[in-house]
Amino acid sequence: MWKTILRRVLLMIPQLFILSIIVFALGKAMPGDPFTGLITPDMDPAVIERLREEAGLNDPIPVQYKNWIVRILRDGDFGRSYTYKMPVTKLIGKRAANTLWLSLLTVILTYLIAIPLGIYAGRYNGSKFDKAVMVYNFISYAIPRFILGLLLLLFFGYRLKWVPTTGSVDLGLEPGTLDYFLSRLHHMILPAITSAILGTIGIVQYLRNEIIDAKTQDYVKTARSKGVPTNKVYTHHIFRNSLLPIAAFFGFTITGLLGGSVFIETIFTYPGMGELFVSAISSRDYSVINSLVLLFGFLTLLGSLLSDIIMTIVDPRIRIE
Amino acid sequence: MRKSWKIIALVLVLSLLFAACGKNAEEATAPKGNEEEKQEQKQSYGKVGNIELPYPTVVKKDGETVGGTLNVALIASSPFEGIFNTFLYENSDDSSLMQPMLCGFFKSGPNLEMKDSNCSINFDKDRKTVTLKINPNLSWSDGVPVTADDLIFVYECIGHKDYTGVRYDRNYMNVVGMEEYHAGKADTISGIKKIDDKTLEVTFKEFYPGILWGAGIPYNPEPKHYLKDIPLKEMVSHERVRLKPLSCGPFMVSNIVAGESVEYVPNPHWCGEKPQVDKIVIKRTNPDTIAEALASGVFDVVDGISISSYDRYKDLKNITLLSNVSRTYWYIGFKLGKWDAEKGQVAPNPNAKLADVKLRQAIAYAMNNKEVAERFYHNLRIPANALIDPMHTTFWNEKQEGYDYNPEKAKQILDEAGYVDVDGDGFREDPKGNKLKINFLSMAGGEIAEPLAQFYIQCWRDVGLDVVLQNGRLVEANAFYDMIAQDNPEIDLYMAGWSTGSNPDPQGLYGRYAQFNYTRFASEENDRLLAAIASEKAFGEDGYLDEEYLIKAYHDWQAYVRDQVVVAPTFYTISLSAINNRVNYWDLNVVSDWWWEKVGLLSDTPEIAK
Repeated sequence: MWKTILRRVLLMIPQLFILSIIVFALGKAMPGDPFTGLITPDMDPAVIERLREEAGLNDPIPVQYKNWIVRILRDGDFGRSYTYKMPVTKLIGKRAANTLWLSLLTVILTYLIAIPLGIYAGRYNGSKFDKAVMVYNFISYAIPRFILGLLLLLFFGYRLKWVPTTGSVDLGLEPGTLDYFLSRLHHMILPAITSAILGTIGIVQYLRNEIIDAKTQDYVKTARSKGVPTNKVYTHHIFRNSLLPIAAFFGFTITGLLGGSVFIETIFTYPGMGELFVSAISSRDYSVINSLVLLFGFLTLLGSLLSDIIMTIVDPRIRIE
Repeated sequence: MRKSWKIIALVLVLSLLFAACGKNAEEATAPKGNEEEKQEQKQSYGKVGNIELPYPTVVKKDGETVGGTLNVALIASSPFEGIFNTFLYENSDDSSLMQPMLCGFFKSGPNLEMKDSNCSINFDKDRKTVTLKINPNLSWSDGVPVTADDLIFVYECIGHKDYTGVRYDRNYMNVVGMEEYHAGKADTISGIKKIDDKTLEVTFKEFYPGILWGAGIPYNPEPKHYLKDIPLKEMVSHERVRLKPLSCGPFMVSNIVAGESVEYVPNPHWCGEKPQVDKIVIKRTNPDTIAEALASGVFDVVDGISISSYDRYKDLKNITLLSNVSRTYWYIGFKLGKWDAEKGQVAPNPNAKLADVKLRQAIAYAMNNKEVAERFYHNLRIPANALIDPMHTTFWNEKQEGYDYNPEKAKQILDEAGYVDVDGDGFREDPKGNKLKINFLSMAGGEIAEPLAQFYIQCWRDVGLDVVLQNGRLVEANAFYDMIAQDNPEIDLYMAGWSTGSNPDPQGLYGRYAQFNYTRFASEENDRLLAAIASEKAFGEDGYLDEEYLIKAYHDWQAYVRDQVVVAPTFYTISLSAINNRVNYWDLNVVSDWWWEKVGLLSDTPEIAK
C-alpha cells in the first residue's frame, strides 16, 4: 500500500504541472488585466502602462509563465496580490485560517446533526420521527443557500441580536486569548449552522437508505437469528457497513475544508477563501487566481488519495494496489 | 390532523421563501408612493442647480450629545485592503476608512478647486510656483508637529524609483526636477524648496489650470519621522501603514481587524474642536442586509447606500435619509473611429456607421431617460443635459437644453437626413439604401442591466432604427472595457459611465490625444474649445482661478459636444446616505464646515424601527 501511495504522490507532480499551464493560459485568456479597474478620468494612461510593464504583463505569455513557475520552484514565491498589495502566501494564509476554522465547525456540526438523524430515521423507518427527518431533509434541500443564510441572519442577528452580523472577530482582542477564541466562535456559529443544515442532506439520505437496505441483508438476518441483541446488530454490523458511502467522500470533506463558500462568506461578511477566489477572478488578480487553483487542485488530488486510504481502513475488502 | 399540521408547516416555510423572493422582484419596479407625499417632500429640500433633491443634504439637530460610539457601515463586497497612507492607497474603501484621520488639509470651492484650510495655498502663475503654508498648530497623533518635510516626503516617495503606486504621473512629472530625481540623477527634487519649517514652495515646468485642482500637489502630508526608515518597497505592507498609522485629523486608529473593521478614538493632539463622540467604529457590511441593519440600529451612518433595497429602507422611521448629486454621469457612446497607438491620438473614421451627426441626434432624442429613471431607479437618477457633472456647480450649464425624449423629432430628423425604410421591413436604411444594423454593447451586472438594455433598444426600434444587442447578450465589465478600449469593429453604440474627478477638465476623456476618449471623436473645433479650458487665461489677476473666463469656456464646450452629440449623456446619479435619528449632524455638501469632530450622538442607544 505504501508503494501505491508514493506512486500516487509522485503522479501528482505532472498533474499539477499540467494544471498550472492550463490555469495560467486560461487566466491570460480572460479579457482585461489587474489594472483595467484603475481607469478613471484622472488616471494618466502612461501610469497604467508603466504598471503593466513593471508587473511583466507586456512580456510574451510563455516568458511570463516561465518567470512565474521559476519563482515558485526556486524561492517558493507565489507573487504578490495586485489588489491587496501583499504576498499571496500571506493573503491566502490569513483567509485559509478563517475558512479552516469555519469549515471545521461546520463539519463537526454537520456530522453531529446528520449521523444521529440518519441512523434513527433508517432504524425506525416509517415512524413519525423518520417522516419528520424526511420533511426536514426536503425543506433543507429545497431552500437556496443564500435565502436560508439571509433568513437566519435577519432573525438571529438583526432581530434577536444573539450573534454578530458581520466579520470574523470583535475589535481589540489579542489573538491567543480566551476572549479572542470565544469571539471567533460567536462570529462563526451562525454561518456554520447555515452550512451544516445544508450539508446534512446528502449524509442523512445516504445513511438512512444504507441502513434500511442493510436491515434486509443476509448477514443481519444471520446475526439476529444467532441471538445478537438488536442494539449490537446496529452498532457492530449495520452502522459500519452503512458508513461506507460517507467514508468514500470523507477524504474530499477534509481537503474541502479550505474551499470556503462564497455565498456564506458574502452573506455573513466573513473573509474567507471562497470570496477571495471569486473577487480575484473579477479583478483579474492573476497571482491569487493561479495560486488558489493550484492549491485547490492539489487538495482535490490529495482528497481522492485520502478517500481511497480511508476506504481500505473502513472496508477490509478494498485494497489499493 | 397530523397531515394538515405538516402541510401548515410546509406552507409557512414556503411563504417565507416567497416573501424573500418577492422582495427581490419588487426592487426592479417603480416605487408606488403617494403623489401628495412626494410633493410635500420636494418642497422642503435643497437644489443642485435645477435638480431637486429628494432628501436634504444636511441634517443638524440641537441637543446635548452623550459621547458614545458612532457605528459606521462600509458597504463593500470584498474585505478592504487597509492601506492607511494617502500616496499608497488605491481603493475607494481605503479612502473612506482614512476620512476620520484626515485633517481637511485643503477645502473645496464651488467647482471643487483647492481652497485654504489647515494648509493655505498660493498660486503664482508668473513664477510658476505654488506656496503651501501649514497651520502651525497641526500635529501628528504622537505629538510631533506637521512640517514642510512631511510634504517633501510625499513628493520624494512618489518620485522614487521604487514607487509602484499610481500617483507618479504627468502632473507630478511637471514638478521641476522630478524626472531627474526619479531617474536617480539628483538626490533631491530641485523644484521643491523648503522656505521654513511650515512653508513649502513648489515650482512647476508648465503652469496649467489643473494645478488649481491639485495636479502635482499632495492633498495630505504623511509623517516623515514615522515612515522614513521603512524602505519604500516594503512600506505598503508595513504595520505602520496597515495597522498603526499616525493621524493628523480629529481621530486616530486604535484597533484594526484587517479587512473587517477599524476603531478610532479622538486624537489628543488634534488642533481643532474636541470630537463629540468617544469612539468611531467602521465595519464592512453586506449590501443585501443593509435595510435590516438600519432598522435594528446596528449602524448609525451608512454612506453611499445602495438603491437596490430602497423600498425596504425608505420608510423606516428610525433613520433620516440625506441626498446629494454624485460626481458621476452615465452616457450612450458612439464608436466613431479608432485609437492610433503609433501617433498616440484618436483617428476618427468619417465612414463610421454613426458618423452622421443627424443620426446621433435622432438616437439621443429617441431615448426615454425620464421613464428609465422612474421605472428602474426610483427617480434617484436625473436625466443629464451635459458632460460636466452638477457638482461643479457653476461650470455645469444647468440651463443647457438636453436631448429630452422626443420620438417624433427623432423620426423627423431621420426622415430629413434620408434614413428611410426602403425595403419595407419596418426598419430604416441608410441614405444610400443599405441596411443599417446598429450593434449595442452593454455591461452585465445587477438585476436591472438586462431589462435596461432592452428598454433602450426598444426606444430606438420604436423610431425605426434596427438596434440589436451585440452578440445577443450583456458583457462582463472587464470584457466590456477591453472591447471598448480596443475599438472592437462590431460595436457601434455602448452604454457606460464616468466617475469624474475633482478637476472637471474634460481633456483626458474627450481630447484628441486622450486614450480614454473611447468614442474616438476629434475635431479642430473641439481641440480649440478644450484648449481654452486648459489655457493659462484660466488664472485670474490674483493668480487664482478666473471663474468668469472658465464658466464661459466650459459652457462653450458643453454646447459644442451637445450639438455634435459626441456622446449622449443619460443620467446624473443621486447618492443617498442614511443616519440613525440619534446622530446630530451629518453633511453631504462638498463645500462645508462639517468634519468628523462635529458628529455627535444624542442618546446612548440607537433608535430602533418599531
